[in-house]
Order: sequence, then C-alpha cells, then structure tokens
Amino acid sequence: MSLRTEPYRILVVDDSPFIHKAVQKALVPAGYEICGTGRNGKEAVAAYGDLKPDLLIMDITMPIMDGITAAREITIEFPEAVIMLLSAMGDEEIRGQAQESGVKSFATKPFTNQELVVEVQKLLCPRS
Amino acid sequence: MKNYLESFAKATSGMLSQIGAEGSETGEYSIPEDIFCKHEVIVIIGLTQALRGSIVFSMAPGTVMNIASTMMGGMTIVELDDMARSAMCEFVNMCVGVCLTSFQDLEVDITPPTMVMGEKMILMLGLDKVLLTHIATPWGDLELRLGMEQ
Amino acid sequence: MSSEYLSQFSTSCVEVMGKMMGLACEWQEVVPRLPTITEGMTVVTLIGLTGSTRGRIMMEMELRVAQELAEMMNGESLKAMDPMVFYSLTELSNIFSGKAVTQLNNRPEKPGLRLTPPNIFVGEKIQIFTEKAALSTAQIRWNNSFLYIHLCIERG
Repeated sequence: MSLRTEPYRILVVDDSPFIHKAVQKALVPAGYEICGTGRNGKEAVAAYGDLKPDLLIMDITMPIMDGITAAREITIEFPEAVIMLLSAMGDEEIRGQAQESGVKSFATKPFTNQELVVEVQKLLCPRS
Repeated sequence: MKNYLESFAKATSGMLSQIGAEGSETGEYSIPEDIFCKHEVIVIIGLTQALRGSIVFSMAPGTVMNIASTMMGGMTIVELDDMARSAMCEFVNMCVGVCLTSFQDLEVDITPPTMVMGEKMILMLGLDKVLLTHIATPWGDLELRLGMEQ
Repeated sequence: MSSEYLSQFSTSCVEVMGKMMGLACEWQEVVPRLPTITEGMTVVTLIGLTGSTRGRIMMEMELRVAQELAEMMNGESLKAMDPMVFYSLTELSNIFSGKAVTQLNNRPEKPGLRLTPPNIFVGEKIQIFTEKAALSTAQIRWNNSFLYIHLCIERG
C-alpha cells in the first residue's frame, strides 16, 4: 500500500475574501494545499476542470452562479468530485437542495479551524 | 446588468417627469472608481429572489428637499425633516416599483427603503458587480448604484 | 414578533462572535436608538430581509471596534481602513444573520425569510431613517467594547 506523500489539493470558492483567508489559515497548517480560489460558481466550474482538486470547498450564495448550481454542473462532468458546501443559511430547504446537487458534505458558517480540519479529514481520509 | 440599471434609470426619469422635473438626463454607465460617496444622503432598497442585490440612490440634501417639496405640491421645505425624508423614500420606492413592473416574468422581492445620511461616507455594496450612473435633474444630481448577483 | 426576532438575531450574533473570535459577549435590549446621530467614524452594515416579514438588520459600531473585531477574526493587525476590515464585518453580519434566519425558517410556520447581500456604510454623523417600521435595538457588550444591532421590521 503506497502512502500519499503530496498534500491534498483544495479549491476554495466564495465571494468573500475573508473566507478564502480563513479557510487557508485553518487548512494550510494542517498540511493541506490551497491550489486555487474563486469568487463565484462559474469560476468554480472552470477552475475545477483546470485544477481537478481533491476537494472543492464552496459557498452557496454567490454572484453569477450559486454553489448548488455549480455543484450540479461539476458532479455531472466529474461524478467522483468531492465537494463541501458552506453556508451561513442552513434551513431545511437549502440543505435539501444541497443534498440533491451531489455534494458530499454541507457545513454551516461559522466554523472553527478545528471543525473545518476534522470535516475535511472525514472527506479526504475517511479511514483515518 | 447594464440593462437592469438602465431600467431603473428610465423608471426614475419617468417618475421625475411625472412630478414635474422635466429635462432629466441620464449619463454614462460605469463601474465606480472608488467607494466614496459624493453625496450626503443615500436611499437603499434591497432586492431578493430573481434579482439579488441592492439599488442605491444618492443625492445632496438640497435635491431631497426639492423632490420632496414637489411631491408635496410645492410646499416649502427648509430642512430634511420627517416629511421630506418620508417623501424621498416614497419617491425611491415608486421608482423601483415602476421599474420592477417592467421586468416581466421576473419575481423580485424588495425591502422597504432605508435612508442613511452622513458625512465623508464610504459605501460598499458587498458585491463584485456594481454599476453606476448619474441622472442630472433640474434639482441636482441623482446617482444610481446597482449591485447585483446575476 | 419584533422582540422575538431581535432576540434571535442578538443570540446568533453573540454565538457567532464567541465561536469566531472567542469573545464572551452578552446582549440586552435597549431603547431603540435610530435615528440617533452617531459620533466619530462609524461603521454600519445593513442586510435586507424579505419573505413573510420585510425589514432590515443593521450592525452599528465605532470604526475602532470594527478594526478590533476584524483583527480578531483575521488573527493579525489591520489598519482601520484596510478593506479586509470591511470584508470581515460583511462576513460577520452575513453569518450571524444567516444563522438567525435559519433558526426562524426552521420553525413550524416556515416564514421563508431571505437575506439580501450585506452593504457597508462608513462615515461621520451617520443617521439612519426607516419608514413605517417597528424599531428595536440590542447592545452586544464584551470587555470594554460594544456594538448595536438594530432591527427594523415593516409594519403590516
């Protein structure tokens, strides 16, 4: 069994520059690499195709294309895509839509660094 | 997005004509160069559902008083009192309402108008896509700023 | 309803500030402050509320407090007018409002509340006027600092 030596690559898409920074601060010290960032769903779809990250962390409410629509488009083309949706809104309707879009995880803001790291580990290293 | 701002500007010009301010001219459409607001009065209406964002009207206090005065049948207004503020908010509400009526097949919800007054104001609509235009009225400049998620 | 909503937004704000910044905050309802003129440079975030209830949620604080909160959120020093201060406050208002609206939307009556994107105003002598709205204000306090949450719910 070969051990992975390269860090897992994560694409972060959110219209808030603060969230880009917060996710980076949480995950880079934990050994993950932020391979790209985006500000809306359209950029998420384009960047996913280019970068093929191990994980996409994406906001739901974004300009031009929202996260749920972007997640649907990405999972159609890349069924193996691992996507975590983040949102400040977590009511039942939104959670339902998120589930239907094919994402693997839904997290609500705010998150502590530790919470985010644990959730990412669960998605990327389910057996660890 | 320019289409939407054009519609708001057209509705505003139409409303200005209706209340007696003929000869308003809408300027060019551009991305704001900075976040500083050159006027002291802002009226903001939030948009949700099919169009999500904010439409912001800004103007000098004198322009508010003139518009309010005309809306109240020529009553003399010497300060930005409750009546003047109320009239201005109603004016903006009507402009936005008329505009939204023209967006057929688009379900848009709006918030009530909020008026903010201040000095040395900075305004950030919290959105990447922001467009602005000016309407030159006989009573002063009206700046319209539209920030939208598409 | 206004009191109930204010309680939800204030509680959410306290919880979010606790989680994001490790601040032990308390809130209490105070006499509605709008349209009091603010002193010094003031930061106001404004989020619109639509659905079965229409209105606005605002956070008001001195620029010094805004800077302090942003520095805690980012874990680094920031100049008072650094754009990251405003990005951070935008996100703070988005998060606590979203949390509050989530709780309200999950109630049996399902009010279907939605939020507009946040706006930020910074300026001196700011006065905020709301039309035909029921006003309520909460003060959120921690250490020697405080901010206000104003809730303006349209009267039906």
